[in-house]
Amino acid sequence: MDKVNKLEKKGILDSYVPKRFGKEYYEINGSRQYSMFLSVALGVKKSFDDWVQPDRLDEFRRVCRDYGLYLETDVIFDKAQLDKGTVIGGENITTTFVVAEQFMDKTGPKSRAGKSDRYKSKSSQKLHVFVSGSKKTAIEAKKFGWYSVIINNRNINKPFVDHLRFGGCLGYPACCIDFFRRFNNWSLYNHPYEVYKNTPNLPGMAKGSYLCNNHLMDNSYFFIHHLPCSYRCENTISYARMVEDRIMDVEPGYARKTAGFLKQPLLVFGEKNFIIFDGRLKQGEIRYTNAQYLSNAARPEESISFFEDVLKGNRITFASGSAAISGVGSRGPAKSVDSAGSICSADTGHFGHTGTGSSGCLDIMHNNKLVSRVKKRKDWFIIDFD
Amino acid sequence: MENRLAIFKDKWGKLERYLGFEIRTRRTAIDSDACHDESISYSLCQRFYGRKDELEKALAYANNMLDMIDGILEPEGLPEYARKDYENYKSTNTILLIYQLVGNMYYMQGDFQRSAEHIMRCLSYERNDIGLWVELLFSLRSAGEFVLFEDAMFNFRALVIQWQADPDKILTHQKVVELIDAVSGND
Repeated sequence: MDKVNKLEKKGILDSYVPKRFGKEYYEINGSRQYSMFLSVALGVKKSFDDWVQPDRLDEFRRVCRDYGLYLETDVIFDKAQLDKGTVIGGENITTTFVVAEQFMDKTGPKSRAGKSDRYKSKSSQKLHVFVSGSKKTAIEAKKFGWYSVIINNRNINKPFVDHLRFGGCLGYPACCIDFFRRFNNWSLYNHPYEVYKNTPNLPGMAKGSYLCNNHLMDNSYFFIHHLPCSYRCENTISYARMVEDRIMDVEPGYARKTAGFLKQPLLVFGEKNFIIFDGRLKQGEIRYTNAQYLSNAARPEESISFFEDVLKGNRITFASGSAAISGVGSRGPAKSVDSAGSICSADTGHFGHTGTGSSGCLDIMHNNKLVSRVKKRKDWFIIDFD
Repeated sequence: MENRLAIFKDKWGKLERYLGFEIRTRRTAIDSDACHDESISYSLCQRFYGRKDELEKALAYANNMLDMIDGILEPEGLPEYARKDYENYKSTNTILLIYQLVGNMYYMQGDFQRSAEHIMRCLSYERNDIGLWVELLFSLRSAGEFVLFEDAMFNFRALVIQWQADPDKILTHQKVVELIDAVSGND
């Protein structure tokens, strides 16, 4: 585990320190959502939502004002110190597992006699805010931007249509919002896998466009913050290209670094649950020297358990022909035994273009030696971007 | 009355066929360990998102059903035979469900005031269902009543119990404000 922890700390994705544009934002909130701030400040994106330390709200508000942006406050998010199983509606928690508190602020909408005029926050608390170049849009975003949060041990969801309306306020393409409507049902679908299936195979090209790579959102390097309807979605590409071009004008180093990270191959297990590799996908196999696992903190039960093996290896592939499993001793090429002792059928396809969507096994190799063979779920996929 | 209810039943079936889902919900009490039922709003969203004309058609049809049964929630003054039907309908939630459905249709349409009005009418008769309260509070939020929404959401249990014990028969917007002020200490 020590090795894992060391490497996880090292990771692949670092934080970005702006050279010029948006430095003041970075100084308050770091770079996790820096791209969203840039996109809205540059007028490409309608609005975004963010989280700020409540006692730094005044500073944050000033920065927004200096960049011509309006801000609307919502509620306080605090890390849930609860067993999710004991929360009413806990089974519906998807990407956000937080307890909410009401925010009282003298400059906010809740200016009432007898209430505290300044919020004394704990370090774990973040105030949810909506930011836009238009006050009207910021208010519209607030109307529909409620998150699924826990209040008095009950998880309170908004009506599903509000997710779609909120997407509109954030400037997401209509085709992707409608795709979200159809497939963002966590009990029925793995949304990213549906996106993958909806992506055409273009001969001689990577599976996706880096401009449609949403997976790194909230991790400093991304141009889009929505799940696209396809990793080749034309509306997303034209929008993301505008974002990239405008950022290139003001912070070229960030634009170039982001494009680079967005072209790295991924092994995707689900929404906010994937491994990024520093290598390249070639003929259905990723060769790498480093990898980073980003899991969904709100659904730890879906985290994979074999990342340590990934770090021990330098190649990853579907279990396939004899080349992929040479050096495995008695395990034959057609059928093999995984670490849990079950039989895995071999899959001779390639990840990137034809082999995904099948069950089978995932081989983690170090050079030609098998480190681990993992039973693969049908909806896991590897994807590369160009 | 009997005739009206028979026509109502027939229309109900036609409406369900047009909607493509059964109009039903699970009522959830405040002390329940279950989360509230979102199936009506979710199903409406799946059926009508991006289909404004079809939503308007369904809404007009459902409103016509409400016109037919206008006053049916009030048993006083009804003849004996109608009271029996009334009890049946009330117990199976049928009439309340149409009000709730229409409230959710208005929500889909973006008319949050009408949405709130219909959900408040349901809450006047069905005081135990927290799902109705959640729908009402989101109608208020979407109408821009953020303070009211938050004061209610963060005093949710007290609010539900307060209304259950309230002697007033009809829940109005003014009454909602009074209840929320009472439980959030703003009065």
